[in-house]
Amino acid sequence: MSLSPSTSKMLSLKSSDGKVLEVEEHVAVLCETIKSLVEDGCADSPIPLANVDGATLGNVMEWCKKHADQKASADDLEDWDAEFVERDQGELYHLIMAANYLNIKGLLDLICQKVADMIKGKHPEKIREIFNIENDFTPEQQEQIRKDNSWAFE
Amino acid sequence: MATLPPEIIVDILLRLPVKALLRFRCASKPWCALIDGPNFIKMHLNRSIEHNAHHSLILIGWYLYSVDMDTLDEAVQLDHPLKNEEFGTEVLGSCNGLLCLAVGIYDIVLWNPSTRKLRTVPFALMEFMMDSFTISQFPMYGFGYDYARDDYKLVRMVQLCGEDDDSFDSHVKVYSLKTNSWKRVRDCPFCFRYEGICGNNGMLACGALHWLGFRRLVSDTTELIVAFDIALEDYREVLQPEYLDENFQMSLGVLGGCLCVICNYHGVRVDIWVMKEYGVKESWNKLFSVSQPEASLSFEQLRPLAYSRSGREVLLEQNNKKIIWYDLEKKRVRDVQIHGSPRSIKAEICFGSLVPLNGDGRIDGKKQQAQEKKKKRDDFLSVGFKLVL
Repeated sequence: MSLSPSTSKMLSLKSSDGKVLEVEEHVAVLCETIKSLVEDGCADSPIPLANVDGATLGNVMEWCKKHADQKASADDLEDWDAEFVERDQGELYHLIMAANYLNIKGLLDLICQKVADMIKGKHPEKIREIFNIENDFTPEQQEQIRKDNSWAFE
Repeated sequence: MATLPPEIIVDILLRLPVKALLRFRCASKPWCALIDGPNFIKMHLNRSIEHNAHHSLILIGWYLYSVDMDTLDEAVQLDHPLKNEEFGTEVLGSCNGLLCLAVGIYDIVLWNPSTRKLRTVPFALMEFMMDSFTISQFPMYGFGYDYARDDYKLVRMVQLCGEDDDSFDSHVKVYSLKTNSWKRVRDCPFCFRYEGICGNNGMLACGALHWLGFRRLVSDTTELIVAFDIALEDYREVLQPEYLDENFQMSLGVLGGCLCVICNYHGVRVDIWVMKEYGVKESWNKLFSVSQPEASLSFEQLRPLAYSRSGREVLLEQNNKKIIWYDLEKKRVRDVQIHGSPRSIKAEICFGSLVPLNGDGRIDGKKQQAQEKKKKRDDFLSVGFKLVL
């Protein structure tokens, strides 16, 4: 199947909040989930994406469009990506969930790395807050684990 | 990030440096169990190796220093367990984030600089101490990972010379981290001369340690690459490239996990060969050749250390004195200025890893004792069953 930009047709994608987005097929197929639908010939009507809201879908497609552009150099993409991930936690969370659902390895990789960079200097209390983790240690256990590697908290 | 699926959480954590992971063990019991788990530890290490991430340059002077590979800006002195003012510390090997350190022949430890965990290697008697052989040289060491047994092993070769100058015995003992003991393995059929300019530590590549050796001590001067397979605990010869001009001094190195041969045509150039596919003679590839005028300092010794993240440059150690970058495309040498680095340096690469040593730590020690007790009981039981049968 040829998916070059010149022959690419349009696909319409429908988000969870009912917004419909028209996207060139060669851009949309960066999502493995959509690619499978196209290859199986099941992509005629607006493709319903029940797990992605309109705003996030717009962001995801913006990323796909940039990365489908064969003229973009590796350095250019790197700079563009660095700017693309400058977002708040909520947006990053929605992007991760969407990249996971739509199976876009490159985007998932990018956002996971951004989150890792964001949290690597933080303390466990902040990590619990960010990932909504319940602290199930007793204070004594907690103290012992902290003591195991007290230097890592300096 | 309220409801991220567990596989995404793992994906994010695998990208973190060890120090952050040690802190995040505190977050909750499931996070602690995940980070301490052997699968996570392996995945984290493999990811770091694959992505050339979380690794540092260890500079070995009188003291040891660590330099972040991404910035190569500052040498930070390592507060390691053998550090002392009287004797310098040697690094016998580096593997999967573990360093094997030694002061003299008696004090050897395995140490993970990222977790600061330690295992003291018990001293093993050397054969010459027991009988009247002449020892020809100091012991040679090599440190590496046994894929088959998921174990770390330190190999020690002691070469003893016979009276006729040409006969020799190479006694070999292997220490296993799992059993915390030494055992003697088959003698090495090759002999070694203690004149290698590259130090005498075995070069670790593809599950084997490598040294330059000979078939006979005096009567056969053909230099061979001798490999000790860490899992099989046996020796073999690794075939060398087809050199066009053999008028060079040879040493061994490792680059990106591949075995290298460094051919030094003194005063003219240095060729670096890489064995792309281990054990396949045809896969030897001359990666690059540095002409003498390209570098300000003569190449008494040049040793490859690592590729840059882009893969376009190779980091090299020159004459135990400096660290330089070689640009593979532009074929140019560039000096690296590391603030606070010692004057005389040997360098090793060390990955940041959570690989445990289950040693001197109190809790781990107890676990080990319990395991030993259980093993003794199992041995006892198996003897008992034999008696019944």
